[in-house]
Amino acid sequence: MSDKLGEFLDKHDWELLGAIKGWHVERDAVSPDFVRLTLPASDGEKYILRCRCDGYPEQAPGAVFIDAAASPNERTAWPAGTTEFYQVVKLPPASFLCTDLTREGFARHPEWKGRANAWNGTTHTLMDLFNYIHELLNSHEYQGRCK
Amino acid sequence: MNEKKISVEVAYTGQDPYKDTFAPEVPLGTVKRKAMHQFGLEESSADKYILQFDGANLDDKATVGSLGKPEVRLTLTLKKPQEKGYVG
Repeated sequence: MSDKLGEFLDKHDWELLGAIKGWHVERDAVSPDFVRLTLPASDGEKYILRCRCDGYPEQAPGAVFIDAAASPNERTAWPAGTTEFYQVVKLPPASFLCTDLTREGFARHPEWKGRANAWNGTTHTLMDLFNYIHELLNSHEYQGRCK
Repeated sequence: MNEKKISVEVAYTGQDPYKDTFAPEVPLGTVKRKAMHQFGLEESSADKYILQFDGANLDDKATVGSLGKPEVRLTLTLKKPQEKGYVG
């Protein structure tokens, strides 16, 4: 069976990227379709992004922020921000990221499919989502951890 | 004081790479501007370029030395705006 997700993870130097970006990336040992990215925001807070990658790379990843107990339903697991920030970040109980790099975004906006920069399994990788979320958490739209 | 310079190579689609050496404290934004000049590129409100290392976007304010290598290979890429949902 082809393991495109494993190929992606093997291709990158995560230790060095950890030193440069502050990222920690790990694949779930029990449920290997899941990858967790721990990443810092501009205020030093660290968030855990859990990516569901069944069907990768053809299908866009699912993505939620989770807490240490792996729950996406706690508001404190999620970042807060401006009105523009909340165009993408949908806090609990909705708990999803509304962008054209996630399957949850496409589920709500099927019109995004096929657009120039939307997730495309031949040109996009999880790194595109990692970069996007890192920039979101380090943008002027970010306003700290949700309470 | 002799400061060891870092060799930097920046690749951009379809063009010969930009190559130069920089002191560790030089911001990556400086490297980006020089590379873009060689490639004949200019930023605009619509077109923003970013440097990447191993696929990860780099902050213009980060320094060449922060990459922790004596030789660095970077990629210049056009930043892609993503779609966003609605508020509510």
